[in-house]
Amino acid sequence: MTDLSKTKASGGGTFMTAVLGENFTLGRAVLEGRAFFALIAIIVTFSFLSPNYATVGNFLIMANHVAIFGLLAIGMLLVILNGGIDLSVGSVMGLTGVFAGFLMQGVELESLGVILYLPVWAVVVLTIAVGAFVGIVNGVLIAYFRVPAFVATLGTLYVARGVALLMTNGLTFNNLSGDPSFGNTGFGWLGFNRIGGVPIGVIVMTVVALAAGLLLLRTAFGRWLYSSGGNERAAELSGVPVKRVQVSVYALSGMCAAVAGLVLSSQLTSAGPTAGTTYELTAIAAVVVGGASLMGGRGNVRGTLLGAFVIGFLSDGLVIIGVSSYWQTVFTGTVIVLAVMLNSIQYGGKGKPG
Amino acid sequence: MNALHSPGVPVGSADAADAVLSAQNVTKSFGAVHALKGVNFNVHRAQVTTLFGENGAGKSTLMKILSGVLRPTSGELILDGQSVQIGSTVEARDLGISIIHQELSLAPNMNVRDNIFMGREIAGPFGVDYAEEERQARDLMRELEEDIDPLTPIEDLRLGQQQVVEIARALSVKSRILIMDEPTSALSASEVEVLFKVIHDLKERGVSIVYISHHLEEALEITDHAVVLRDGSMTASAPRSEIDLEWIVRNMVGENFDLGAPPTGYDFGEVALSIENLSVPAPGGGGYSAVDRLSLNVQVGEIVCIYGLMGAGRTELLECIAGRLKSSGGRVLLKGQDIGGLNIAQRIGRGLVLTPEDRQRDGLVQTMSVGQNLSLASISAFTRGLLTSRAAEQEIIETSIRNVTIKTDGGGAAIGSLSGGNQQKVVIGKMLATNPDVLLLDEPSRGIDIGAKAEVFGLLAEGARKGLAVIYTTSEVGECLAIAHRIIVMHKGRISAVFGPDATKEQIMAASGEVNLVQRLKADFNLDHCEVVTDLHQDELPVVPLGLAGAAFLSREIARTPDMLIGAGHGRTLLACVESISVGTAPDLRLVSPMGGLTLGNSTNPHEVVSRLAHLTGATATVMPVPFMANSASDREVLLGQKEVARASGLARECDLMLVGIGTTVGEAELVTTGMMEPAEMDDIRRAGGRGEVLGHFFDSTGRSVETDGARRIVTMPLADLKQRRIIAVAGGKIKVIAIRAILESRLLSGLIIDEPTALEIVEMAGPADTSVRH
Repeated sequence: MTDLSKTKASGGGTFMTAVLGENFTLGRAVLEGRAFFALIAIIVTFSFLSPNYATVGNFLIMANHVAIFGLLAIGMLLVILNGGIDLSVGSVMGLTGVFAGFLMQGVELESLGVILYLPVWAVVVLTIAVGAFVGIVNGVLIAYFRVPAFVATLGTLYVARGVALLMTNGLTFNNLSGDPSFGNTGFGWLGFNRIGGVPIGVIVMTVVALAAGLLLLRTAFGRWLYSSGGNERAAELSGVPVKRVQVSVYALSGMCAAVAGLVLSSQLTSAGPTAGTTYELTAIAAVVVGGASLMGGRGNVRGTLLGAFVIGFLSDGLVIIGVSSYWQTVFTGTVIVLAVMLNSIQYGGKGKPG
Repeated sequence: MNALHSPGVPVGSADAADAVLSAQNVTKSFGAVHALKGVNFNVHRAQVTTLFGENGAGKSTLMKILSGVLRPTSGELILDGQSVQIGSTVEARDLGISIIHQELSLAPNMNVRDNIFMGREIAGPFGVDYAEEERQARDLMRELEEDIDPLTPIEDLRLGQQQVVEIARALSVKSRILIMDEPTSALSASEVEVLFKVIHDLKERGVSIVYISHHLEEALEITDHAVVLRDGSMTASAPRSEIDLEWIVRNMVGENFDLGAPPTGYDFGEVALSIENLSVPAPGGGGYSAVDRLSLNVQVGEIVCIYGLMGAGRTELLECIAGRLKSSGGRVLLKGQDIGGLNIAQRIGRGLVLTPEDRQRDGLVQTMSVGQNLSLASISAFTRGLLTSRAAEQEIIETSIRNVTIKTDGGGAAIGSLSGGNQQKVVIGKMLATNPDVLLLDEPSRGIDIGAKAEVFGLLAEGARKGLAVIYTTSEVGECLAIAHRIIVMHKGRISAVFGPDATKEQIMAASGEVNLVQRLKADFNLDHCEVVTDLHQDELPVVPLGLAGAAFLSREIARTPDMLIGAGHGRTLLACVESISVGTAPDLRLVSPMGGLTLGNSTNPHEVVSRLAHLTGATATVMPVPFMANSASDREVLLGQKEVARASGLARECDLMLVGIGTTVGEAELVTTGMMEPAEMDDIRRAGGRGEVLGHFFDSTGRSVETDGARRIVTMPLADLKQRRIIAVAGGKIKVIAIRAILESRLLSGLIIDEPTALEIVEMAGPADTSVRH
């Protein structure tokens, strides 16, 4: 992450200096770190407006909310770096939550006449596998059947939501706590427990973020992803398995959505088929606010997390100071448009002839 | 004017008199970078002024200043003696200055008319006046002698035609100065010819042209004045008559330049790459093979150059070898092993790499740094376990930058900060970093300046010496002769000739197929006159371009000898010639139709051509007022004996020029479809071997006259009389290949005006030229 942004800063900086003079470097720095500065501005503003905002306790609660979007956004980042888009993550979140809830109720095997209660770890593994499966379907449709990403994932958005509704008949699984006699308790741990005061959801997001950061910066796969997102044809001719990379990012995005689904249903202690509706849009917004280019090839995990925090802290802050939820929607929308505008300035400027 | 050797010296004002636009002492700085340092540049009125210079010499900057994209830091622009400020491209347009960029600025989804009037739509009472726009667009196309329908979407046009549309757009705003930036870079040789014709016409209409090209020889062909820029200063300027290629290159690079020589002093090793009967279907369908059963061996240490025109199949060949395109037959062996089933990555792993033709589209990842681009193909070399090693990557990057001598601030620099030549070196360095055994380079010299070219070729020579097998392609003959041990000429997917490094440019160009079509036809069939016209549409029957060429020919002939006696045959193509003819009145002209012309009503009877021409020119016309076919051979003699007919055939025997069409004998033969002959009669002729028809005489494929009962009844002048006359045929189209060939074989013709694809097929029927194949 670091070396990429440094590269941009130095390469772009000299260019802008040449065009606009020395004093522009400050503006450049603000532009580069806009998500960070926006976050600081949000925290400072709300701290003035509400004494309860800038407390450790509140930060942790807000961070726990952000975790859901953060997880989705990290998966989304991988897809967007590849030059694609994944609209299905909200639905996949709902589907995987319901799937986990379904497993927690016990699976009745009619032929054997028994009801199978899986331990929580097995539920988690199977749920993530379902997320990966939906992602692979997306990836294969896009990479091998040449369905545009927007359309393919829009399709799975509907299908996954429909399947979730079918599984529950539209109802919600309310009892996810398991039964000590079956040895499947502990599902709530994900949503409620804390380690050293930090909610598990936040820790999960941190771990996933670190893994994704390492994947992007220090593995061959990461380099493949950046190159095929930047120029697929050049990457292919350089020996990058572009199709495999493409399928993998959608699989990873599906897995991130599944983890988010687990955390959410654990937080809510219920699994509803409509959970996560429109969350994909918030995830995309976080990635964009974090400075990634929707054309692919540019962006990093740090920025995406900042983007998720900006959106999360802003909307929670508005709740805390008692602004109507209608206004929250207006603010969120404004922030997203502003972010994309700044992206255009940052990346679009380079194309102009000198 | 003399060449200026010290930069910045003002150009003499004597020269400024014929300058329509001049830039005086213009400088342009971008921060600390001085792109132009006091340049004086004159655009000569109604002439072509060519701007030469390496990449980064300031050509584009100067053109952008002239066209209002940029403003000069200092200095002024003088238009028609008046100092002007050009603040934007719109202002430039209003002043009559238009620029056609290398990347065309047309909307591919919209049609020709809408593109021409984009942004300046003609308003009518009910919105846009499409009819008026279409009429004007049609007029423009006619002026440019291009048969492009204004309602065709741009994406359906070939690149050459799109360029014509751009030119039409510039003309539609009454441009007096047209700046063309690398207009030929994506055109085939024949399209370039068409463009040059258009440029000539533009000059005659008083349009001044500024021309920029990397293709020096080509630019020399068209230019009237040459101006050379180096490092932002003008180093020389002279009229065409005083300069040559060497002068340009010397002024561009400042010294005599040499692209290198084939590395010597070692023996080639074993065969590194072996291609056996490889066929590659044309990408995007089309049903033909871009590469057709091609075989080639390349040894370790050997450099092979593949020369060919655009569309010869060079790119497809290399991309198939590298694994991007699938083959439809044949094998590729790398060090003796069939690599047919391997993908690109596996082939790179085995030591076979390709640097693509279009480095922006296929070679570089613009979002990544110079270093990341360089290491992209060798990621596995710096991966330790699961993670990449930064130290190992840095080492690879630094070695590459050193080895291929990239001028950069370091691996972290943005790829866009490099010049074209250095970007090309990144693409090559990236592939060399994988330690390949076989290096394929598709047009490695494209769009880079001559100094960088020499460096790139030096790299390749160096690689070969160290045991690399190299294949590179080029479109510039001079580059074949640089470092290659062997030069392969490709034409239509096959190898048409193989040369050693001592070949001449002429030999190579001749073997590439297109340049010498005229010569081949002239030599093979004893023609005095031959024209091969380009059909931009590639229609089945290129009536329009043939008609235009025929008309131009006829106009020239009439202009030269206004009282000549012309005989004319029949057919759609001839009619097209007559329709597009543009001579004034020629009352002394005498015309004669040498065949019977009474047929049941139709538009193209033998007299039609003559009477139309007579109507247009006011010439006197003599026709044979008898049927095309008599009832019997004896009736024919009777008819020929009639007074009017005898007079006509007497004139026909003395024709100065006989302009004829050529007909087929197959199902759709015009003689049959127009009702001049019965299908059964034509069948008879075909069964007797008749393949082609001219003036009612039929010939077989060896050129022998074919006589059937039906043929003997046609009222026309006897073959013996025809043989003495100067006969020029205007014919073309795929369906007529065999017919035209038959007539050519008869040696009856002294001239032929034909379209390019048909000419190619006829030449190829004769087999590859023996003279061009030598090792």
